[in-house]
Amino acid sequence: MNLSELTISSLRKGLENKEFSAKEITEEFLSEIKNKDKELRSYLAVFEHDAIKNAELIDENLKTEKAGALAGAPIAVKDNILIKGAKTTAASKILETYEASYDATVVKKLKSNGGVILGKTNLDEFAMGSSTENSAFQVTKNPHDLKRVPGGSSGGSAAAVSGGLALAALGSDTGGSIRQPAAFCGVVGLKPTYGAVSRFGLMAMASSLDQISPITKTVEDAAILFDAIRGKDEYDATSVDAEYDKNLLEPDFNEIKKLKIGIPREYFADGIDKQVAREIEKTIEKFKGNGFEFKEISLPHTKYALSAYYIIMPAEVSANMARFDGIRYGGISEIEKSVETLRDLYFKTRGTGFGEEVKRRILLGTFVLSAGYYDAYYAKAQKVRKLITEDFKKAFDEVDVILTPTTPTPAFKIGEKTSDPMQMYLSDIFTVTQNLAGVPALSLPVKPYHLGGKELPIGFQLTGRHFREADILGIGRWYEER
Amino acid sequence: MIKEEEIQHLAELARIEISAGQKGKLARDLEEILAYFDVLKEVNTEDVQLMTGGSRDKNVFRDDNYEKSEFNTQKTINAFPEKESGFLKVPPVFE
Repeated sequence: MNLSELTISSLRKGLENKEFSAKEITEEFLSEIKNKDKELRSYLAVFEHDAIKNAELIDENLKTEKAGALAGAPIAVKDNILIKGAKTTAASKILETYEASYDATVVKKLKSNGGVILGKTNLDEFAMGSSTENSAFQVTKNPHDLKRVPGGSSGGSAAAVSGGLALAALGSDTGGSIRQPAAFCGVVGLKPTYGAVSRFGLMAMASSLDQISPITKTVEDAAILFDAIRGKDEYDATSVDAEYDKNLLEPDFNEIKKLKIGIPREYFADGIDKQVAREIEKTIEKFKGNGFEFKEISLPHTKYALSAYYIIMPAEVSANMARFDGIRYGGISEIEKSVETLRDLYFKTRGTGFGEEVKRRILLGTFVLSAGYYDAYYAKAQKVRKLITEDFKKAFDEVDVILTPTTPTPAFKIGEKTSDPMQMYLSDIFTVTQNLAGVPALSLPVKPYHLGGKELPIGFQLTGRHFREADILGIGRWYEER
Repeated sequence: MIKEEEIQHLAELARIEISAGQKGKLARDLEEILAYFDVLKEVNTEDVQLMTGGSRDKNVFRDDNYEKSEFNTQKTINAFPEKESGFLKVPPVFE
């Protein structure tokens, strides 16, 4: 069995045709993790015993019933998503001993669709970062070049899928945390429409921007995994009962080829790496050569998106992080023993338990929300956000899908940007706008998934209308299958 | 210009202990980040409403009923650092 060729859809066929068992596949992935993860460091925890037990159960069920959409698929889950009974650390010292008391809704859905959860993957602490270097526990490597970052914050999930240590993975995307690592690692990442997937059981970072999202090897798998986890959930009031038809999983390529693709000139200004520009150009030519209609468009407020994002996101972070007080989710035992008052407990737990980037964002968020600065920063940013959203609305009157690079450069070196937060933030420049506007976006490699190639992977991004994941996934599949 | 005293004030508001050594670096970082935001001043936002999120601009309501929770409170209590007869035990609030 060649694991690198395996996808969620081919696995399912193989199981139905009895070419292999779910248990065999799970064991192969577990042994890959044992062999390779000492180097990649993509997992924070591996559930060897439970994974095998669940795979056996799926094999047993397959004797009598039809396979679920994710039957036997070994899946990794970012460690800011709760799995009942498992440690969930968000890669933070403040939660080092925290054990989740319930399953996130997406985890329930993975399980009910037959998915086998292999373990929890590394991330930037509380999903704050763009390289996974902000993890309190370990630095994850890019499988294409071990000296480079996998991107972030879902770097562990992207590296695991890219390195063959999981068939697919879940992560979260607040400003590009799925799409940027997917682009850096040569895999597929889909950020769904805001509200398409329940966030119940996801540790909130910036609640008006967060979405749980799949990372997979193929666009088809991204559609399958998205379809399995989406839907309204009474426990997340922002989730929406959106309608999706069968085109989500079975695109009609005749219809797909009628979609008009927009190229926003603002995304092709200076600052793009030459190799990225060249590969995106080639991608556009391929679409044009096959009869896709293109149109140059303008998203005039693009230039302001990163500023608006880095005001709104830390503002929400500063509120969401308030719950980590050293009490509700367990504390740091040396501190508990040494403090005399509640105030000391808060200050010392948060001072010791949070890493530098988390502190920076809490302080920045506290600043932009404080009296005297609120109007100049927070209110201004929310107005600019409105203008950015209107830019997209206008653009989607002219075109159906927007094509851009996912990132301005390929994966950067480990340590290259850690001392300069602003440089790190700039790597999100093409991905934050979609979160601000709530629209869905897909990142896929310009070349097919292939580990061990000489060049670093490069991703391009397709952005669609609200709840029109079918359009971007359809175009993505057309591209992938040719 | 962000001063170290301002960092200290923000840290007090956010209940985070920040070492003397960290304050200078954080002040410089915030300074650089806030300078980047200056670009927003060019945007004319007169008559623009604040956007507060969501894909559908619609309030979501539910009936005010209670249900028996499927969640186990004991597990939440177990996560407390210190407890006594099912209650959370914390250090004194007043100094």
